[in-house]
Amino acid sequence: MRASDPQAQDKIKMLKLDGITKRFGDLTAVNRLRIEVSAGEIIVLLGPTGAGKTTTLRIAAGLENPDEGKVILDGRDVTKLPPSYRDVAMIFEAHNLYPIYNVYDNIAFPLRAPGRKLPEKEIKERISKVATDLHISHLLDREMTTLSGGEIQRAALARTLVRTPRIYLMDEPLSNLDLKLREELRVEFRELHKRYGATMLYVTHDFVSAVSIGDRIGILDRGKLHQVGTPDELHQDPHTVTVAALMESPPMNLLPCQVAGGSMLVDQEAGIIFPLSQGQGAKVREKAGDGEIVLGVWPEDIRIGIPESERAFQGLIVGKEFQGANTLMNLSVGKSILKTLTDPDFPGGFGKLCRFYFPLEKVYLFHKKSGERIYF
Amino acid sequence: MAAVHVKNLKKFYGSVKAVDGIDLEIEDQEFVVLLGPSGCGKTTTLRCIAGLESPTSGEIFFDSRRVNTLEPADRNIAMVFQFFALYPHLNAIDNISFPLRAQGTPPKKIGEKIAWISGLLGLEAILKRKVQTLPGGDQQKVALARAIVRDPVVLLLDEPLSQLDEKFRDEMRTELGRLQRSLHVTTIYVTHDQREAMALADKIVLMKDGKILQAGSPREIYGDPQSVFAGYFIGSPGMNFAKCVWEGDRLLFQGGINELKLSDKLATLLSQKGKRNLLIGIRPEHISFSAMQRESVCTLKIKVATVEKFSQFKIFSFHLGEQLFMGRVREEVPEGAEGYVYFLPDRLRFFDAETERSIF
Amino acid sequence: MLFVWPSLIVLLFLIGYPFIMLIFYSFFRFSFLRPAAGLNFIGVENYQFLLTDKYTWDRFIFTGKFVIMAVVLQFFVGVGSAYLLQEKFRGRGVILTLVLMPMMLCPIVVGLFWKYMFNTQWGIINYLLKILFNVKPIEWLANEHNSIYAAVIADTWMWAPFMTLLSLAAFTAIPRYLYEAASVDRASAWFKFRHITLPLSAPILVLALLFRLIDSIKQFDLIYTLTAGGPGDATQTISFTLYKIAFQYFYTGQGSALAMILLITIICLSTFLIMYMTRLIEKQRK
Repeated sequence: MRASDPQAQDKIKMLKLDGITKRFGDLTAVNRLRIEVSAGEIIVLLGPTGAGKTTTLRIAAGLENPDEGKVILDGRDVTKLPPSYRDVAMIFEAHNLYPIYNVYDNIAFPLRAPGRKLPEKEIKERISKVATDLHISHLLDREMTTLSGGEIQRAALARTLVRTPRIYLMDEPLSNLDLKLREELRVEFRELHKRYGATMLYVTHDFVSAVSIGDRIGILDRGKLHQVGTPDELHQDPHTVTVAALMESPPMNLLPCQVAGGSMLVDQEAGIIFPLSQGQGAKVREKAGDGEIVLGVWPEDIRIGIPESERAFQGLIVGKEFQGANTLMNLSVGKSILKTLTDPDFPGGFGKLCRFYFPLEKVYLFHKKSGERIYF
Repeated sequence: MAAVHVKNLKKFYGSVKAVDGIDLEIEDQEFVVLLGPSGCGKTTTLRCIAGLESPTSGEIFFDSRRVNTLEPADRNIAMVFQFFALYPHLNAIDNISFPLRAQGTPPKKIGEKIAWISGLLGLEAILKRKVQTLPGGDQQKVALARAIVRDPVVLLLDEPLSQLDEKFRDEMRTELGRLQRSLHVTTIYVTHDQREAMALADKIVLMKDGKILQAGSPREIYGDPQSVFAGYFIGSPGMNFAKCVWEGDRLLFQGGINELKLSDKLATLLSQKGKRNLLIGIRPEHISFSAMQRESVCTLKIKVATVEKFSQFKIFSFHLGEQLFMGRVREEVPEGAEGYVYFLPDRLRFFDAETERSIF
Repeated sequence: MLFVWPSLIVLLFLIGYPFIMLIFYSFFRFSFLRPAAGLNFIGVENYQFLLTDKYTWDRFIFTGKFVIMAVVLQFFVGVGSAYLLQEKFRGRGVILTLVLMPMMLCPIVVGLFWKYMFNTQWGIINYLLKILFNVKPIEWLANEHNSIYAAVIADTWMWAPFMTLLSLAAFTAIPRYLYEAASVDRASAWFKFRHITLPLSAPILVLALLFRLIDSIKQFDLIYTLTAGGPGDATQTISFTLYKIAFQYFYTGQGSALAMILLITIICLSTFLIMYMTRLIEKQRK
């Protein structure tokens, strides 16, 4: 257990991936990745399938060698060291439990490995503690084949947590579980983390898991790390359009846009027009050049059901998804679909017109080709 | 287009009762979702309707035609599988056109249908590609196209989105809804993901242990769960529950450690029901938090355990007795803070502690 | 790493040394029987001779015919029987065991009893042919045209089960839901086989083919007891020729050269097949 000394926490970078690049033939799986995980922190790498998350994790563990860059664990350069010499624990997406052993022996396995062997008494203590935390004490002498999916996942987690490495590397450990089970385990995960104070690099494509588990999130897409920050930071200030598209569910609405007539922010098809000040217009034109830009707005920044007396844009309701605590509305605006969340009882059915509005302050602009944010 | 009637369907595998007496009335063009945890019998039910399994007992009708003895090929159904199930070495076009070719449709008509379906699902770009080279989401779209192109009377889907990335899943959910509405085909969809059920279904059939627990529209089941399981399973996070004892004027939790006073109206109603051992249920969005005590009834002093911060809302948890409750609010809630939670009295639900059925 | 040394040394001795000596001798005119005649270095003369000698080439061609016929027949019988044995049915276990038994016999034994079965006058094959189809007795082993068929039949009987085994393993690895989807689509059994079973089991089938190919080229024991290369040299495969050169005539040098030629041939064939198999696997990995 790494006890969290508040000052030390700021200073100890437990894991540093410095300029990691990995290529498989023509494909650059990871591209000059640089990220630091402080002691006691959970960093989540969020990205779609094929973004390079698993490859990054494997490089950190020592299962792959990077073509460029260094892996620094607690101050030591371990880039050339094989996995067994690094002090890490890894949990794989397909759990790695042995069907021939029962649950207890599976969890004990890493503690009995030569080179790290612990006395049986201590093994027993550690296992009973972890088993209690994960609610599997009653399963310890069962055979692996008799367990349900959720139980297997907990056993796999227990096997990882029973060791006390410098850092835990987690590859989507919850992805194979039913939705409900995943929700339960997410909360338990967070509580566990607070109790153990462990340092973790966690990888997933599920945004909800990322936000609930991670202290900070790194957005990874096609091998490039777009931004690292707390969920709030990523939400308030996304640096690229990829970040905006991967955060949140539903993600940021993105509309094609142009600057026209000297100083207006326009989405022609949709009829969305914002007047820009001289300074703003100049900045936007300068950054965008003649290229097209993308207008982004978060679903929750869109107000709908604006009364006739106020200024509003118009859209057609083409989708309404009941989500229990709220409803997801799809509005057809010009060529795009805007998504927004409303109260479950919002009136207005398919095909009805809907008046909505969002102010200029809530607008984010991105460069269409590069995806970079345009500040104005 | 057909209505589907299932009467007292049972399917046993030896001593395991996968499906234990299911009655389903599915109207023509209705979108029905069989929802439940792994092993509840939903997939088995679907496969019986498809004809891939034969029921141990019970009857299945399409409109008034009894189909129990018919092969899947003769039921004029179409099915989309969890793992896509595409012909591996054919490209997208050949996969989609296969059922038409098998039926002997003339090539011109095949061409028309392919054009129609690829326009509908946005497949033009990938038609010539070998399906094994496509990403999961596109493969599933091809599988969907293949199913729809045959104009089946019933469309069956077995957890079609479970193998896809979250992003894709969200998109496909919207697509599917839009698609079904424009196709007017009776659809039976199996999933364990209640968000899909809520978003897509005209009617949700909640299953557990081979039996139907509750059937109704998403709003009905969400707003009026008849059982603890229904309240827990639907909603993200689900309904909070805690064991308590009704002492005539207040609820006691865990032998008196916490107590909750109810409004007079609620107290009267509860006393009328005459039960003592209860489970109280309240959805997270009906719990609010404040540092100071604001109300006199339906409120408890608690300490915040964890907080999950999403941009549109925050989910905070606190312990009530042995249970971990989750609340959903818009404002910030500091982790570890002490304060008061307020349960909206109109939204409190009570369940019998033994039967776990709703009292009100 | 230290564990490996003892085995490595044994391996080196048992395989490495003879192999190096083989290459060595192939450049000499030398005979084990007459070591006194000495080692006469003749460079590549052995190779030249073998590669230009009509007799040797005839043996190669015959071996090629034999191998192709045998392997193709084994392939069809093997894949076909695996197809039939896919589904579980009562007695499947027993039938499977029976089907696999021929493989477990000794090739020498197999050659011997097929020799009896193929006997023109009182062999059981001719007997059955007579009473079932009223066919006049066929001269199997004494006839230079028919003896190849006898060899192919015996070899197939023994080794088709190998194809069956590997095909069965490949078929059972294919997920059922692919077939189910095809059923719903009203696919015929042949369509399912051609578009699902074959493409997905192709890598393993090619691997099995590779094994059988190599084995058939090396086929010796069976031929030795079945026909002894006869009648005359009608069924003399190239391995049999090698045996004669090396252990009947004791032309050690020439025999070594032939062995090398055989080795290189097999290596080339295998490489080709392995590349094909790798490409198949890669296509599937995507």
